[in-house]
Amino acid sequence: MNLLGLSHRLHEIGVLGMNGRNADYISQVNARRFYPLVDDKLLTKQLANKAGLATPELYATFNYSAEIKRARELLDKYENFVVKPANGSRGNGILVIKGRLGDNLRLASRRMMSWYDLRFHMQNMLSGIYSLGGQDDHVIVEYCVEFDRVFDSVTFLGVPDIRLIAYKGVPVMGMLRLPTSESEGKANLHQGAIGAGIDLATGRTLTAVSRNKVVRQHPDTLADVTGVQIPWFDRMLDIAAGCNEMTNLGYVGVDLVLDRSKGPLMLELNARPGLNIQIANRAGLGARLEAVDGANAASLPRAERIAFAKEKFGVGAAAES
Amino acid sequence: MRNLHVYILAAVLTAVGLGLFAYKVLVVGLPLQARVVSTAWEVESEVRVTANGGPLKVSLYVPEASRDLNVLNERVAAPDFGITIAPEGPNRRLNLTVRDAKGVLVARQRFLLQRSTGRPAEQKPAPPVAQPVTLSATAQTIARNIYASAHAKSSDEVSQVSVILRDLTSPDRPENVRFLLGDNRSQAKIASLAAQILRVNGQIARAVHGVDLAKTGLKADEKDWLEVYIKDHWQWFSVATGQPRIPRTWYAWWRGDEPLVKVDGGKLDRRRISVTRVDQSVLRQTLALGKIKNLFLTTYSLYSLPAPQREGFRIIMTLPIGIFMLVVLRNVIGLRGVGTFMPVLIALAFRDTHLVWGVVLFSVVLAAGLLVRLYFDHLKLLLVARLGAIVMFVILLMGVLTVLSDKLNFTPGLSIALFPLVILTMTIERVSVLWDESGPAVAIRQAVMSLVIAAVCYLVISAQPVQHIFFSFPELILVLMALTLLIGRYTGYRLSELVRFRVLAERQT
Repeated sequence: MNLLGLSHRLHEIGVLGMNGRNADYISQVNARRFYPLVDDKLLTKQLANKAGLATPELYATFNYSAEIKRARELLDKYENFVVKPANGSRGNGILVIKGRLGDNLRLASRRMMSWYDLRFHMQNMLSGIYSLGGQDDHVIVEYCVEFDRVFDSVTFLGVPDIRLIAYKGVPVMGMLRLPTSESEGKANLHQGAIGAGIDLATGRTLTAVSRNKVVRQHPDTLADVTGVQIPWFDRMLDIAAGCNEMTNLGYVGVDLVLDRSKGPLMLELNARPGLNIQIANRAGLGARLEAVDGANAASLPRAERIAFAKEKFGVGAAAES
Repeated sequence: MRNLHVYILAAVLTAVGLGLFAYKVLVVGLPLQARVVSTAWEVESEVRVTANGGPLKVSLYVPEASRDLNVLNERVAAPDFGITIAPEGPNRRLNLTVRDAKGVLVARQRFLLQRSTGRPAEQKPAPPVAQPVTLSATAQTIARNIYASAHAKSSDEVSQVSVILRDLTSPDRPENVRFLLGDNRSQAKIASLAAQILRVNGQIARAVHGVDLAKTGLKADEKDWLEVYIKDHWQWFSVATGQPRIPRTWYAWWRGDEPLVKVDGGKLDRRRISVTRVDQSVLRQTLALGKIKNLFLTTYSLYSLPAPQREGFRIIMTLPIGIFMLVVLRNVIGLRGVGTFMPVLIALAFRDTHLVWGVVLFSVVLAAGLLVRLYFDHLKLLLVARLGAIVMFVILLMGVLTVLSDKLNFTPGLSIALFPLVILTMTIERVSVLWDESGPAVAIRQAVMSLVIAAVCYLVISAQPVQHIFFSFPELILVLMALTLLIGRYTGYRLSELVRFRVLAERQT
């Protein structure tokens, strides 16, 4: 297919490009001044708690170098915890601590790390090495999610997470992100994780994508990644549908994890969610966003917005149209 | 609505940019290429006078612009004289005076003649003043006869003048013409006489004197011709052929019946006019003319800056091209290097080192910097301290490389000092973070991509024509800005996305 024909075809399907996303959606419905609410994960967490959306429990925050000296004193009581930069992007700089080995900390990736190393890592975070603009940052330490066994067969290390795109209060597309050995346990597609599209009507996974290529099996566990039923999916949709209102951002990516005992927890929000989700779902995001605008679904109450999403964007709906 | 706003803004910027550009090309005459050469002529007249003792006055005609020739750099070298300028009929006289002159005195007058660039300014001829008739009563009668017979043999005013000139110049001149001419049958005399004949009959005419610029050398080819005011403009007639045409190379210096040099209180020993051809860049010429005409756009252009700033701006004005290229690469093609505009800045650095050597240096410094960065990683340093240490290392490395290249007599290496240190350091840092997070493949790919983009940028911004165009016509940056704004509202797919989302298109077909 020639490039022009390809472009035309993609447009027909309603695939959203980077320029279209930035100019037609992000710059229209995501006002700059609200970005800190999602860029700073601490602020997001506080907002979510106020809005009644579940997030992992906050153990400690570090704002100054001097405080880092007390890291061991404050954190030693937790067997497992996650350390992350409040302004980090793309999952960079996140450390998942799972237990101890002697005096050392054991990482989820099975590497060892001393408390000294951890403090250095925190210092780096404070000096802004992982933040978007390189500005001063702070460190968040929070509950380490005990991920639900349901994803065991399709996960290698790390925590699988669910990305939902919410537009004006309507969940429009979803994806289950599965860590691989290549992504070193991170659920980040840029780093080699697998993304599986989700049928919004049922919460069952569709086809999956790895680095822009369609895959059927998890490369490490060889288990089938399609047809996996995500538990608590309605609760996830409910959380996603509340995020736009909470942040005043009309177009956000909502990252959720499924905890064994606590159910779905909102991890973070993204004001510029990636477009690979379209490949995972084999569907165009642009078409769905237009459908939301066309039906003026934003004005509906939350429950009806979710019903709208299930009806319009479920796989059954796609087959009909 | 927002799109409309952008379109209007882009249209206005484009219109202003192109308008100014067109004005400067068509009216001011700034050349589109830097090295267009045009011809100019330097005319010098030298006058040697032996003084009688006592007051001496030597007068010459001041050169005036003529049709499409402009006069530049007029200079008078007459160290012994006082100089004044006074109008005289259609000319201006340059009066050189000395109260008490002795011996031989020399005066030189020198000026440059250039063709006007762009459209020749349409000079409305001043309303002609009827000049006095100096012929005797008998001569006037003869003049009327000649005029009447020419009138009978011609169809209009122009051909009548041609007939008169032919009568005056033909070898078998009628008796009455011979009487009028006397012994002096020079072209100057014939031109004057023809003017007189026409004036007796109520027409406005005068002799024109000048030089033929086509013949260069120490002895200029002096020319005389006739100028008649016909149908609201001055028509030139060649004395020799009688035709109403004068070669373009003839320069009209002064008008009337007087000679070029008049001496009062001394004896004219020698009068010499020389013509030299000078090849000059059109650019310089136009700028010089602009200065003379006091054109706002030339006086307040980048050309008016002092040399060092001018050279700086020659580069700065090309940056928008590089930046525009990056915008296209990013938003239309979908390629990205390390940092937003870093490749343009690297391209700037290449200017001092030249391309191949620049790429080599950049790679060496980047590779060494990465190694050091990797090593520093083990020392667990804080961000700013680590960056600082890397800058210091880069500086030392540059020093070593420069000394080495000096010892090896390898001069391009000496220009390394101009490499932007901080940019290099930030590049090292970015690439190493990328290396940590996305692996060596991605880091190296992006670094190489940046280098390639920088090289292409360099080739574009260092191209002489590009530099000339953007320095001479900075208003074109407005056009680039308009295009950039339009790209800013381009919501179509990037080229790279077509590849990325190809899978989606294939499924349903």
